[in-house]
Amino acid sequence: MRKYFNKNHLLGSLFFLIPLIFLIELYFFPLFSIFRSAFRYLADEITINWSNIGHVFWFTFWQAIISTILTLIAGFPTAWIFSRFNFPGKKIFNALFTIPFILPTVVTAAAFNALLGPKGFINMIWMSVSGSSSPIVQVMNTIWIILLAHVFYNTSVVLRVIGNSWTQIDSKLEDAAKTLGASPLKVFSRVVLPQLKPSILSACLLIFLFDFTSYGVVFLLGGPKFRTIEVEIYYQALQMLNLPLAGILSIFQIIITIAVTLIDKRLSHIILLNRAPKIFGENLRKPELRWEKIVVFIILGLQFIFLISPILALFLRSMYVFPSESSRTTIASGWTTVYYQQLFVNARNSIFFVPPIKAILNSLSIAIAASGISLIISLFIVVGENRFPWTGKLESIFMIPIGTSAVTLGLGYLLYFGRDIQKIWLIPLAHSLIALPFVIRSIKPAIFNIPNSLRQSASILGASPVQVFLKIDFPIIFRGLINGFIFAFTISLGEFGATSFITRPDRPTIPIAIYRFLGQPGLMNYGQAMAMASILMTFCLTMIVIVDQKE
Amino acid sequence: MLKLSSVCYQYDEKPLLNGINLSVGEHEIICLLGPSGSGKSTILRLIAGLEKPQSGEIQWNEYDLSEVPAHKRNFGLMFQDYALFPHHNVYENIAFGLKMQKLSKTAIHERVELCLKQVGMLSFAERKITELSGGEQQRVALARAIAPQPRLIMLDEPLGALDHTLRQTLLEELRSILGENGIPAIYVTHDQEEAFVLADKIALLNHGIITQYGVPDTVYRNPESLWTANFFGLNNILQGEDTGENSVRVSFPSAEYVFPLPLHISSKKGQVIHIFFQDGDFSQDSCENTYCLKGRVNQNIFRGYEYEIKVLIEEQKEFTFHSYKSCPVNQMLKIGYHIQDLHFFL
Repeated sequence: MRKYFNKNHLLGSLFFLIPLIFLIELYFFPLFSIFRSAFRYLADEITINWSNIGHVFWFTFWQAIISTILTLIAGFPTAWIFSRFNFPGKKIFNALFTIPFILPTVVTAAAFNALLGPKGFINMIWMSVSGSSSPIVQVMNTIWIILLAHVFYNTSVVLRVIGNSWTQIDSKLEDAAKTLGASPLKVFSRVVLPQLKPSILSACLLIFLFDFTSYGVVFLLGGPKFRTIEVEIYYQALQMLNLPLAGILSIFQIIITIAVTLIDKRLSHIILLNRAPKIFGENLRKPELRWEKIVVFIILGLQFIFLISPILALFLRSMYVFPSESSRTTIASGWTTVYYQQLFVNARNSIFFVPPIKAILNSLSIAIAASGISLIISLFIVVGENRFPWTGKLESIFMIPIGTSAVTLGLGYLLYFGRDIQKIWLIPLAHSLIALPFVIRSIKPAIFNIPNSLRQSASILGASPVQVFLKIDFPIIFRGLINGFIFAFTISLGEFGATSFITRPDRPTIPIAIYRFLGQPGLMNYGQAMAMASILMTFCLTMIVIVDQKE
Repeated sequence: MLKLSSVCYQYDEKPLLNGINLSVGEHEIICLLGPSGSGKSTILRLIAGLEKPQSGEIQWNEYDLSEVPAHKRNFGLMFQDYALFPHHNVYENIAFGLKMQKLSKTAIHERVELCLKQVGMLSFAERKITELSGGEQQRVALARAIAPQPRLIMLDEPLGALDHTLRQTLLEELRSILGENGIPAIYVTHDQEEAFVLADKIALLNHGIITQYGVPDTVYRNPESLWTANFFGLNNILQGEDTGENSVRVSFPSAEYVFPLPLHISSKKGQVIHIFFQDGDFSQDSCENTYCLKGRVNQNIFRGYEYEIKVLIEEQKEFTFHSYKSCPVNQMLKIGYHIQDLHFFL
């Protein structure tokens, strides 16, 4: 008996050993390199430009605050109508409004460019209609586009977090307040708002964190003038070659992230006992009065326009050449697929050494590799954790990478892997690490729903552990595995932050390609950026639809 | 004085209230009695201004309320599940209406203390709502509704969620509190016992209209329809046929009874007529000035305060009687009824 126990013990350890090594090599060691480099820098007392750091810090801070406030204002009316009214197409709207949140930052950047950029739809239409040659909307490389993009991204957090909480507030309380003499305004301020406070705070903290650690949007849409901490890390590391300073900034970022997370945990302890309505959906009703219908229509319409028009603009821009553009090149005006076709061509003065289509193939193969690795590692973790009681809490350490930004990770790889940075296996491994927490989350519920008795009965009937796994566990968690794979795939496809640190010029990924195209003048480059971004967006949307099918 | 005239209301395009006529005078407690789903709560919500009727008028002292929003009507409403504000404590809940009236802090304090005393919850002022039991919540809800001294108070099945003993106690308390404050009240329930204890007048709601209205005693003893009799659980009812000669024949295998049909019932020969037999005297042996039904005692159940005696009339229909005296099972009885004890309906 003892022998059997020891063998299982060893088997259990093996299950965890590989993921642990993975985590240490790809996360902790790079992280420590950052710390080491930064402390060495401080110890050598090289003069640090603290005022510059302070400036960056301050900018990151106030743009995050303003973005959060604007997001709250923008999303609040929509949260209200979703929580109090039933209207046709509600489910579809709900899904549509979540799309911005899951789009990769490069896609968002390209989309906003396609709508509001100097060559974007609004400007092009204005110029052809009014005949002027200067664009009317000049928000690119200003703070406004950054704020706009942040609101675009995070509105769905307001809808989900605050909207959910609002549906829980019994409308009978509002009725009671009315009979006690409260005007509609007082009903809101004295009955509804106090009960919404926890969720409002929670949403704000989350959005603040997202905006504080914002990288892609600021980098791509704001341009070099605007430096959040993440963007500054990039510039210090890759342009100023001041890795230690980048390290110090990383540490600051980590501290702030931990602090905000802790505050959020503290706040969620303050539980306000809301009465859940007895029947789900009891608070919902069709808008009856005329003003109600008008208001719902307007709010829904505005929200739709705001959240969907950039996406539409991206698609359309990638397939349309304006007459003013066509006159300067050899491309005919009107609807066209020329940009997509050009992706297959290895143009002589291209910024890549290979046809851009190669970037798509690169991304796909990296994504498949990354998802596969992620999946296997998570399976090891979850299987090991489930069988051997002493491994229970270990899973939480695999969740830690969520707390550090992709940029920090990229910097860590730069410092730790040194010359190996250009090795082909690094990007897939990096992506699989970034995706790991999400894959674990996808698989975990599925695997824990399998009662042990099922496995035990299979064992008694003579099945070996491997057979038990294949015949019992696997079929049941299959759906979770698919979802996990798709999650990791989507994350890898759109990953920009870490990849921008470890990319090779001859092996671009889709996001890198889009970034390069956007940075170059010329219609063809612009069009190809739009085309690639549309392709990436289509991939992501398809993936999400597949995952949602199971719901 | 509240008056509803021909109030109609539809829910989800289905008619719910089909012409409600109701009035509540000063110091009156009116009970709206009816089965679940009959629209009782809706009537309260219409009066409170939380919903708008499709047609009809709601007037207070002859003044039309249709343009007056809910928060200006000053009608108190006590909800079925109390609807206490979870983010306020007991004191703040009760003070809410007073704050809306912009009273001074001292005035609010006085009034809240008074109301707490009335409901017997003086020591509970600082308590959180979540720490209260059902009965305590109900009392706070009542205090909150009466605190702003509304011109009318409406109570929507306030005792529904409580257990039997608690219900009894609170019922009596309610009666005295409502009486003390002198505010006219509409009390909604499906429980007839509550209605009988509290109401000055009962209004029976069925199929969207008030089918009967009056003092509890009269309504109970003179049901005007079969539905009403069934609702009250009165089952001393026999079914007969219009003979066409101003009388009703009730046939049994072993015997036949003929009762004179009152003039106000309009029916044709052959029409089914129901007769409700009220009270009934089975202490006498002769049937001279009375109509007698013959039956055999089937069950004799001791209830503590009285005996419940079930008698099989002509071995066919079971009647229920209450008596101080016990009647041994299988004893043959003759039950006598005066003509005014017989109630006829279609």
